[in-house]
Amino acid sequence: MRLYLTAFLLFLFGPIAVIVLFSFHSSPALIFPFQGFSLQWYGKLFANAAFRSSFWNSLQVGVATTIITTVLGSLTALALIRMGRRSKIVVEVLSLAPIGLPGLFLGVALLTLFARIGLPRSLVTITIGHVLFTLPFFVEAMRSRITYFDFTLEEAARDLGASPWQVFSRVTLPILAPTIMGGAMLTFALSFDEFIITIFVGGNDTTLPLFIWSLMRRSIEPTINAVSVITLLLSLAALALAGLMLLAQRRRTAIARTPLFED
Amino acid sequence: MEDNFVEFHNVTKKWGDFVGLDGINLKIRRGEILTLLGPSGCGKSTLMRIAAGFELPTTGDVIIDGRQMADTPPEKREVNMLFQRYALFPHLDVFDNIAFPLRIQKRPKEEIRQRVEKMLELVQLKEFSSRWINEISGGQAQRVALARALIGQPKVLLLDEPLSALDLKIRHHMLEELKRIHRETGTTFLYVTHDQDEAMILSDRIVLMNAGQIVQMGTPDEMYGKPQSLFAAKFFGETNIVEGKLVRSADRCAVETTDGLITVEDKMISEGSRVYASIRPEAFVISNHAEGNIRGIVEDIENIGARTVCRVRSGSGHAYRAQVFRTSAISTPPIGANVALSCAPADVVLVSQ
Ligand SMILES: Nc1ncnc2c1ncn2[C@@H]1O[C@H](COP(=O)(O)OP(=O)(O)O)[C@@H](O)[C@H]1O
Ligand SMILES: [Mg+2]
Repeated sequence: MRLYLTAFLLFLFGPIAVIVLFSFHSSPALIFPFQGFSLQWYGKLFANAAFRSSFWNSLQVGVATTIITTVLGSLTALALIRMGRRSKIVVEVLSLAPIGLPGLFLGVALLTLFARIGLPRSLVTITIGHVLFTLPFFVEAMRSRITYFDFTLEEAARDLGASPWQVFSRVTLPILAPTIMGGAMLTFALSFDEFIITIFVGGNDTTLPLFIWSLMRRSIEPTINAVSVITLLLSLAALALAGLMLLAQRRRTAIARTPLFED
Repeated sequence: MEDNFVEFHNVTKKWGDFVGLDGINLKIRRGEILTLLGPSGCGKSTLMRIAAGFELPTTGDVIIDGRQMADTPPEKREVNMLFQRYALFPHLDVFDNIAFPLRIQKRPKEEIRQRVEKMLELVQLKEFSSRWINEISGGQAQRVALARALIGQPKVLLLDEPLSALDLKIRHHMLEELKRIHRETGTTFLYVTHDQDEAMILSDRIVLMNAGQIVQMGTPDEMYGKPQSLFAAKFFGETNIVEGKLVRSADRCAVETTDGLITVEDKMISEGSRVYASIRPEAFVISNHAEGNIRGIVEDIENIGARTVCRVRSGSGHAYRAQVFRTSAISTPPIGANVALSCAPADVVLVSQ
C-alpha cells in the first residue's frame, strides 16, 4: 500500500520536479548530470517579445473568461436548482452537452459563426470561445455542490427579516463563495491552457499554449522548462489566493468583534 | 374580551386535488403556549408555514395582531420560526447568527452587542459566542436558533417539532427550558408536535388535528379527561376502548358490552345508540372479588417505571390494561389469577366514532 502510494506520488510529481530543476540548469543539456544553477533560460524567455505578448494575452483572456463564466455560471447554477424537474433535465443536458463535444467541432463552429457575423478574430473571439468552453465545466462543478444547499437557510433568513436580495447577498452567496471560487479557479486553468479552440478563433493573437507549441516545433529548448515553471507558479498563486481570501473572510468576522468584548 | 393575537379564519390549503388543510378556524391568545398536535402528515407544518408567510392559503385569512396578512411577505411579519433542523447559518459564528436579524435592521453596533449578550444569557450560552456552528452540540444549536428567533422580539414564536432532532435525554430538559424562556419573555408560542406527552407538559391549550382538520381543542386536562371522539381518546395516552350499546334502567345508565354492563354517568345519550367507552388504565380498580364490572384472568404484568400495568383477558377475549400503583395497599395479583375490574362511572368517557 505504502509502496503504491510512493510510486503514485513519484509518478505525479517526479516530472514536475525534473522540469523545475532543469529550468535552472546552467547548460542547455536536458539530461543528468546536473551542471549547476543559472537563470539564463528565464532571462532568455523574458527577452523574447513573442513570449511576453502571448503571456499577457493569455492572462487577459483568462481573467476575462473567468469573470464572465463565473457570473453566468453562478446564475445558471442557482436558477437550475430552483427549476421544476422536467425543465431542469432539459437545461441540464443542454448545458452539459458541450463537455462531450470535441474542441475541434466547437472551434470550427465558432469560426464559421464569427465569419458569418463579421466579427474579426481577436482576443475577444478567443474569450467568447473560452467562455463557451468553460461554462459547462463551471456549472457542473457548482451543481454537484449546490445540490446539497439547504434551502431552509434561505427561508430562515427571510423569516428573520431579510429581503430576497439580502438573503442572496448575506446568506446564499457567502455560503456558496468557496464553491464559486473553486469554479473560478478551474475556469482560469481551463482557459489558460486551452489550445484547440484558440487555434481556430485566435487569428493573429497568440496565447501562451500556442507560443509553447511554436517553440516545440523548432526544437526542444530549455526555455520550455522555464515557461512550464512560470505556468505552474501562476496556478499555485491562484490556489493560494483563493485560500487566503477564504481565511481572511473568517478572520475578518472574528476580528471585527473582538474589541467589543474587551470593553 | 379575549385577547386574540393570531387568528385563522376558514383557512384551506390545496395542492391540486389534495386537501392539506380543510377550513381551519383557530384563535391564539396573547402570551399563551398553544400546541398543534396530530399524527405526521395532518397539516401542522402547513398551518405554521401559512402563519409565517411561506405558504399562502388557498382560501381564508390569517390575522396577526389585528392585521390582515394576505399581502405581507415573511420578512415583514412579526412572527419568527424555530426550524425543525435549526437552519443556523454555517458561514457565521454563534454571535453573528444571533445578531443576524439586528444586522438586517441596521441597528447600532453597541445595541447589537448588548442585545445579543442578553439573548446569550437567556439561553445560557455566554461562553459559546465565538464558536462556529459546527463546533456546538445539537442542544446548543437549538438554543442558538431559539435566541436568533427571539432577538427581534417577535409577536409570535413558531416552533415546528423543535425537539424531534434531539436525544431523548435532553428533550425533557429542553422542554423545561422552553417553559422558562416563555415565562421570561412573555412571547406567544405556537408549538407543533406529534408527541402528546410533549404537548401535555408544555401547553396552555392543545389543538388536536387529523387529516387537515381540527378535531378538538382544550386544555391538556380537558383533552386527556374529556376526549370527544375515538381518535382523541386514543391519541391522548393509553386507554381501553370498549364498544357497546347504551342502556337505561330506573336508577342506572350503562353500556352493555360483551363483557357485561359498565355503569356510566347519564349524559343524555339516546338509549340503544352504539357508543365507545374509553377507560384509562389508572381508572380501573383490580380486585379478586366476584363482583365487579369486568371479569378476567391476569395474562401479563408490565413494570413501567413507577407503574405496574396488568393485562387482563376477559371472558369475551378482550384484553384490558389496568394499572396498579406500587404504593397502594392492594398487592399486584399473580399471573393467572382470576380478577375483576371496576371503575367509577365518572371515569368512563363515552365517545362516538
Ligand atoms: N408543497 C406541497 N405539495 C404537495 N403536498 C404537500 C406540500 N407540502 C405538504 N404537502 C402535504 O400536505 C400534508 C400535510 O403536510 P404537513 O403540514 O407537513 O404535515 P405535518 O407537519 O402535520 O406532518 C402532507 O400529506 C404533505 O404530503
Ligand atoms: Mg411537520
